[in-house]
Amino acid sequence: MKKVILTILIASFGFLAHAQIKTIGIKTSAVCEMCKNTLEKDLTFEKGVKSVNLDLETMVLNIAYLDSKTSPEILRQRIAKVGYNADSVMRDPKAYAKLDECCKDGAHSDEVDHSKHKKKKGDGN
Amino acid sequence: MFSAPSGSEIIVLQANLMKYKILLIVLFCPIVLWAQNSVRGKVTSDSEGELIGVSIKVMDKPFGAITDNSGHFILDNILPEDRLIVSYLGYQTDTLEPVFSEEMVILMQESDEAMDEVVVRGQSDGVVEEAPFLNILITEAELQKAACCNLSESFETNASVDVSYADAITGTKMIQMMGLDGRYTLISREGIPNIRGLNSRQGLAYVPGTWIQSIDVGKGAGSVINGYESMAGQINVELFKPETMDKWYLNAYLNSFGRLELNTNRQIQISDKWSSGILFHADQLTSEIEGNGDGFMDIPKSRQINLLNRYKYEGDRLMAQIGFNIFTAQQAGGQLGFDFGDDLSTSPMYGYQLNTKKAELFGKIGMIYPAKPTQSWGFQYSLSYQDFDGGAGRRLYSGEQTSAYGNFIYQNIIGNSFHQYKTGASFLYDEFNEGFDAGNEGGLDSTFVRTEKVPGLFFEYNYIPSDDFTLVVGARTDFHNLFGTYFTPRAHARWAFTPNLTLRGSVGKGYRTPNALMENSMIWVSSREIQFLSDLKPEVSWNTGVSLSANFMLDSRPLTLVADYFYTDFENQLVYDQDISSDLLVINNLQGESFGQSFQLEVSYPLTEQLDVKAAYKNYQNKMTTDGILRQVPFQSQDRFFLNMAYATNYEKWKADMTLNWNGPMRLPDTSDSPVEFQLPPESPDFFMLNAQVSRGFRWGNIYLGGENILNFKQENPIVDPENPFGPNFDASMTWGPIAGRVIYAGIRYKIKN
Repeated sequence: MKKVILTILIASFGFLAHAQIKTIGIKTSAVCEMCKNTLEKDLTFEKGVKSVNLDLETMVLNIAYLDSKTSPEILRQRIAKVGYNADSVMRDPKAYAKLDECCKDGAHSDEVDHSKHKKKKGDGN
Repeated sequence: MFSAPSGSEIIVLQANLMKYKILLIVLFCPIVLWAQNSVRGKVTSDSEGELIGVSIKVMDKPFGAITDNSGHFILDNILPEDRLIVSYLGYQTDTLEPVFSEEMVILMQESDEAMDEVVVRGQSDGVVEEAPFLNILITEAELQKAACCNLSESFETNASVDVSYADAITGTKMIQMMGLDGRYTLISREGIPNIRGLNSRQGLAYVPGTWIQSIDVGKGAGSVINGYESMAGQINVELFKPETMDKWYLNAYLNSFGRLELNTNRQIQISDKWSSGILFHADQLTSEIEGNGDGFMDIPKSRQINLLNRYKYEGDRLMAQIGFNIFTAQQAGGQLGFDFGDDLSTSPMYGYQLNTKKAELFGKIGMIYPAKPTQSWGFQYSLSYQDFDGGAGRRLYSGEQTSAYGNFIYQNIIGNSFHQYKTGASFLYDEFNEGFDAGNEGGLDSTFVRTEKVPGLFFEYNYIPSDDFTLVVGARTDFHNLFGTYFTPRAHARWAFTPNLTLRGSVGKGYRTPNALMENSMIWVSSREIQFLSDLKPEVSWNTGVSLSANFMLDSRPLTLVADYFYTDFENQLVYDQDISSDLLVINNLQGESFGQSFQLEVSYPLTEQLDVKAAYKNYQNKMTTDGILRQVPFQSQDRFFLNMAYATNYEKWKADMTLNWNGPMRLPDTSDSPVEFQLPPESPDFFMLNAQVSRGFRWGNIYLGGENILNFKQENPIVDPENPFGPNFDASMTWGPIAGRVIYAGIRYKIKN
């Protein structure tokens, strides 16, 4: 029993020593505050993620993560699953279809369009 | 119908059923930069053309505008990231981004929700800015800070409502507002009076916490629309609604006493227009909790099953809902070993039992007029039956209450929306059938039967000349079959005399019929002889209050200060007099004076982005004439402190909360004629209560771990002469503090969104 505990202790120590916080910037297709909120919120709860911040001007999502628990590839896949392009990983079309109108392509291409922007009917289902 | 004029922007406000979601969507939607800071606009509707008196507020800012006689408005000092909230009676409230380059033309859409109050809700709790009443909103996020268990525990992080301990046997937690017992506060569920009559002491336990979406706490006399019963204040509980709730919401809770709770909320979308919500709750505590060595359970064993199911229809003009609530609950307490099925009257042990069942049918129906959007009507109703049986020791109780309630409200404007009114009629039917056997010789042994039939009429006028001022004047007349005509005038005013300072005032009369056997457990749990000295009369009071709230930016974070003072004067009150003799409980209509004065100062401020602090000092001077002398109401702290600290990381991945309450000394009833060993000191000691909770969020919900009464403070010897429960000195009603000690709990909330 003692041996087992000791092994676990040593193993976890090695693990901790190995775990490093890394940062990465991933170029996304997020275009507005709404997208920022959706993406940051989702990635906050992703395994291994320490902090998240989306720069709306550059559309880059900056993530600090533990490299022992996740990887840039996993993070990109997750962003795609939420409905946004992540570097070269294309977004999941189903998730994209569910996004609010203002987070879709073209919603922010022309500034004058904004005030005309139609609100989606609240979906109660 | 219309085409977009080329020189201006048309903003179509489409029908939305989920105001809050839309509010958020708009909040985070595109930001457009223009240099100017002044916004001009016009508000119109298809049916009425230019709208006069439309309120345009700037979100999170203390200023706004109202449209003039031609429907125009101008707002200065607007930033591109500001959001304009446009609201008008009978139309959908909506949130827009400002347009600086040209005149905004806002086309409002008729509301599809009849009789819903327009309230803009903040993220956490706080004083509702726009309300003419001093209203404090407790949101779901706030409710989750204290995980346990039902409505009586939902006010833990709220400074305006205090929790008190009924006695050392029944485990009842009661609420107080302004130091006045919870029975003087009208507690309604979505506008329908709910916790009243025989349910007024225990009823909070039958509203599970996970069913509650939000709670509105109003201090002082309330609106006449909801009846004459709100004397100290009103609390309105909003449950999760079929059209907005999550598809699934599951909760499990377990605490160190062994209390287990399971809750399930389920939403079913039947069709475009019909939706259904099912709320289910079950709990049980089967272990006997005893920590002070007196041989009595500190809290009774209990079990409950509770189900509410409702159906909502939302058509183009008609909105209707119908639902039912059924529950059954049992408690068994008293001496260790006493169980649910035991017979109170023959058991050698001193036992306590309360078994109750309730069935209720309720609903609402409302209609709007697309051609006249300012006009609407609504009708709410509730039919219920509840029975009780139980007792404590040899005192046996049985009761039945059959109630019917209907309230019809019509609302419209006079000319323009500066002048709004609501009027209507209500009917209340209560049939009480109670039996009580005091068990001792010469004691009370009788039945009480009473039927109340109360039709009433009401009218309330709202004068809203500008964004800064609101006056509400209302009156109702009710024709009580037993007690004659009740005339209930009430008035409220709100004046924001600077952008940072808001003054409110209210005055109003209130009435209620007391139910002596059920609403005060001291009748049950002592061997005091009970004397009823006169016939039952309604309780009548006047409540007057003023409050000042201030909002300042301090270091770019909002500092909020609220000071309020309320005075409640009882014309009549049912007095439970324990001061005459320690052998007697004398129940009589008020002989002399009784009044309550309450002062509260509350400060809240975010110390950092992630740490909110709220502190309050409360002073209650509640005096009542007992044994011929005007003195402090017993078991009531005159001074109280409240401190709440709330910490949350981004998107609430981690949350931590702590609430500390300090209760000053309380006067205890005069026991100088008791044998020396059973005498109580004139005052209780002061004490602290500390609750805390930590939760970790996930995409699917959260898990939480917390503790109540972490300092493990307990009233020593809460029962007088516990060795002789059937003897003459036994008294378990001398309770001023917590009986059970520290409790640790953990739970999980799991949501599946639509």
